Amino acid sequence: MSANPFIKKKGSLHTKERIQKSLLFLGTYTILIFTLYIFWHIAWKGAPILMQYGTDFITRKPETLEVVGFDKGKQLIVDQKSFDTLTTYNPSKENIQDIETFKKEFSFTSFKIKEGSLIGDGYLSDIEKQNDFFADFTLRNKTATTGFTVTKNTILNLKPTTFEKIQQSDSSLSKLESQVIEFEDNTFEVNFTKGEFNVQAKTIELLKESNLIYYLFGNLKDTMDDTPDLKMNLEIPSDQTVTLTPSQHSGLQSDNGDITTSLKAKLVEKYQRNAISLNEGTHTIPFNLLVDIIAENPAAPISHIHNLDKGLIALDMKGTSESLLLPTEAFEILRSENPLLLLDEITPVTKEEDYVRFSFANACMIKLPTSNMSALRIANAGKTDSNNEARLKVLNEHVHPYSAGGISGPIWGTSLLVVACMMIGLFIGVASAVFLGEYSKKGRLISTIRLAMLNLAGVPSIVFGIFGLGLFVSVAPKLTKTPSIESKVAIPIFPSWSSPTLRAQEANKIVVINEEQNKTHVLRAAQQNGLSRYFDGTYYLSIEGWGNSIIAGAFTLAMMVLPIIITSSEESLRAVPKGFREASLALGASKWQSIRTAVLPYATPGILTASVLGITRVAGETAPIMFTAAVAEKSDLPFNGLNGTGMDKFFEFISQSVQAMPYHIYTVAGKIPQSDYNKPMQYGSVLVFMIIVMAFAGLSVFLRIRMRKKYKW
Amino acid sequence: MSQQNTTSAFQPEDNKPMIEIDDLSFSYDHGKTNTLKNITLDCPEKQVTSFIGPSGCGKSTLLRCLNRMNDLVETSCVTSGEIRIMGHNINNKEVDPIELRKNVGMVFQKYNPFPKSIYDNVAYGLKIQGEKRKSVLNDAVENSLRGAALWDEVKDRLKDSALGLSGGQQQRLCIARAIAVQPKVILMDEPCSALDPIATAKVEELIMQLKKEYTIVIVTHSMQQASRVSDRTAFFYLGDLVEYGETESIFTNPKQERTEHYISGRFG
Repeated sequence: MSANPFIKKKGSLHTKERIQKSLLFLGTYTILIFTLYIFWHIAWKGAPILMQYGTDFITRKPETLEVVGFDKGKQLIVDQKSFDTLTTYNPSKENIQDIETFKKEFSFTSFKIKEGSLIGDGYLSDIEKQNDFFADFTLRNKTATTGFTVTKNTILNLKPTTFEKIQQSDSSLSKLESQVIEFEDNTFEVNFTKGEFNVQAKTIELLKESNLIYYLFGNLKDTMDDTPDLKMNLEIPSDQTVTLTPSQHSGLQSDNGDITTSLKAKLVEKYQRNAISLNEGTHTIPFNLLVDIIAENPAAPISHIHNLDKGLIALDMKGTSESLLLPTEAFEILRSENPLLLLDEITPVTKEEDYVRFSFANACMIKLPTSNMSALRIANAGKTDSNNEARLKVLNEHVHPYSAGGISGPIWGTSLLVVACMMIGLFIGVASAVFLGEYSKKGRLISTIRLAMLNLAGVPSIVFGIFGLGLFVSVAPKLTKTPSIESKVAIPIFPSWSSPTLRAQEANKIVVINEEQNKTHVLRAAQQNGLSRYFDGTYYLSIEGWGNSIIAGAFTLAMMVLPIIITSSEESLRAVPKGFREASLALGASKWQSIRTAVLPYATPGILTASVLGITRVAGETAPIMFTAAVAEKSDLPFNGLNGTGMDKFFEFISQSVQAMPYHIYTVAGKIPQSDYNKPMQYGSVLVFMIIVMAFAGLSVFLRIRMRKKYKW
Repeated sequence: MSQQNTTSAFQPEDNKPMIEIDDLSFSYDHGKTNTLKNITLDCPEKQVTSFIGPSGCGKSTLLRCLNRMNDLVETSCVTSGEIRIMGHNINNKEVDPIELRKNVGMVFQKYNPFPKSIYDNVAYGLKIQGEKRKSVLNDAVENSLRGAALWDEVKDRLKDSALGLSGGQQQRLCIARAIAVQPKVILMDEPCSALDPIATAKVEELIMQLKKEYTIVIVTHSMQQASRVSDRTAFFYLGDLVEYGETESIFTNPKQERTEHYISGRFG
């Protein structure tokens, strides 16, 4: 019998094959193992954070933790709420000792305001803030008598005219004797020569008040805000002689610019003032004279919270009689300084609040968010009576940014960016894919466009970031009523009309300076003239960019995913059988009808697959948003802190910058000092971010599977 | 010459021509080569005309000229002659292909119902024409399905996906979809080539029914089918119309040698 020809032969070929196979195996599995290791590491480090914080981690904003080492001091006092915060951040019972709760009394006064009362603007807002109450008002009065408190005996110097007015007015000051005092003032007559000069901004600020005629090149206000020492170009068109005050003159002397002047004469001006002496206590005076007194004696010890520009408000209570509450001290000031405020049912109210006494253990570390920590420190800042010791004994203190709270801001920011970006990207992408695939004629131009688009996919994301900064943030056209000063071109587009009802609300809310402008007048005038709306400025198309905003970031990200969306949308459009198009056309559909009803629905699953790729890429990008949309710190969530109404609110919403997950991780992990307190937050953020991205992707996969089932052929 | 003779010799008095094709030449490449060469034939109203011939002879192209589906090919053009349907030139510039196609329906070789419900498939044509009234749509769907002899089989599952039907049913659904918009002419491009013999028999039966109301033009590879269903037959070869006449005479007494060779299977 011959040898079996099928027996395995020993030879080099076989061994080679094995080595090749094992290399391939190794290569594949190394990557897999590394990936698994990274995932495991993130999950392992991140999960305890999620477990510790629970839902707080995704519902709270990032907080900065202050860690302070205290030594055992005297007893401390805080209110119950702050104490609860303290114990949540410091669950260890050993650090906080001798806990004792007690009640503290506060005296308030409850009162009602009668119809027709006059009140100062500042006092009203005080009441409004402390009571959930917003008064309507009809007009502002600048001549009614108001009260003011002098905190210590003082002497006021008044112009003779002002003094005369006071004497004639119905005021508690009208009978006061005055003493006439003479003052001297030096002024300087200075010759300015014609020409162009280089002068410091702060000197120009001084000269602005004089009679000097000049042209200024540049924005004085901006320069004064930033660098008052900077020199600006000033042109004096002709030789002039101008009278300057001593401060203007000395300012001009000390200027190190090249302005040429010569002193012509030093004049001495004499003037008189009536000096009256005021005792400590409350006085009454017409409002406009109070304004004059304060203008002439800015340093007088007069306490007032009137808004001096606006006068007294005549309240319109509309028959409502709400009981209002103020701390007794504040109430007394309100009553003495607003003599025309008619009050009713004044009753003292005592309120009890829970307070806690406790003390820290020796050498304990206490963690608290910065605001709570400073509240604790302010509340216990004093010294003990017995041996002049500080209540709080601070050993050391550290601040750790982003080491507590949660990541709700970044989560919202990223979600909004992704949703807005996908809406823009899918709209533009699908539209271009339909055009390229269904309408365009084949030619060199179209294939060039297609090639350019494919190349766009390989452009580094930082380049997109810069592109977004250059285009969307700084030059994109914006429709606005108030073009920015940085606007390159502002083209008026159409007038803005607002309805009288809206203006009435505004009038109520903002400013009614005199009777002519009050809300009933506005309404009546509009109705009499048969207007249902009136002109309220012009909308401009202003080339000023959208600023650092959600919309700019979303557009930048959309540009980045466009290649992915266009290529795969075109692919999925091509995959729809030709029969559907033909059948639809043969039934009398127009081209667009056939695309809309017989092609696009069946391409949707494929397009959604593309958006899965898009979403995962967009959500994770840092570079394109760091110049266009993201900020490291923002105190409000995107939905809070908006002032506008209707469309304005929407524009405000999309024009705000947001925190974003990838940028937040970059900040926490790379930009701030590292510590044991914020390290766990990095892992927590990364884990949550991974879960969110996977959830986004999962949602698209789920949608795709459902669509596939529905539109299978 | 021979084509001229056959067409002019044949002119039944009761049926006026619905489609008149007059000296038509057609090209797919801007007129460089003509795919159809000087075709002249008339299809009478409410009769079945069948186009036969070997693959690539231009019969499908001619069919797709009749509702201007060839417009989808950018480089195609009619190089000479004209087509008149109901007496109007359809290649006139003023003619809207969309309006034309509403009157000249088409059924394709591969049945292609949309992946929607049976109801939506039949109602599609009316819906894109803007019909929204539920009662009108319901009536049209029922009438069309009855007209396509499919009503009894699907009346209980109108909301089910059309893709759950058998091949023959799907093709009849496509016919129902075509007649739902009430065309004057129905073009059928090898409607039975993807069907088994039983389904084919049903579709053929349906064609005989539809003939009472519609003018039908059918392209087929099966000579038996042409002889069974059609009143007239045109034989094409390499873009030429070789012979056109009454089906019976074409199959029993062909005047051209090439026709005889083709129908007896000694050819191609």
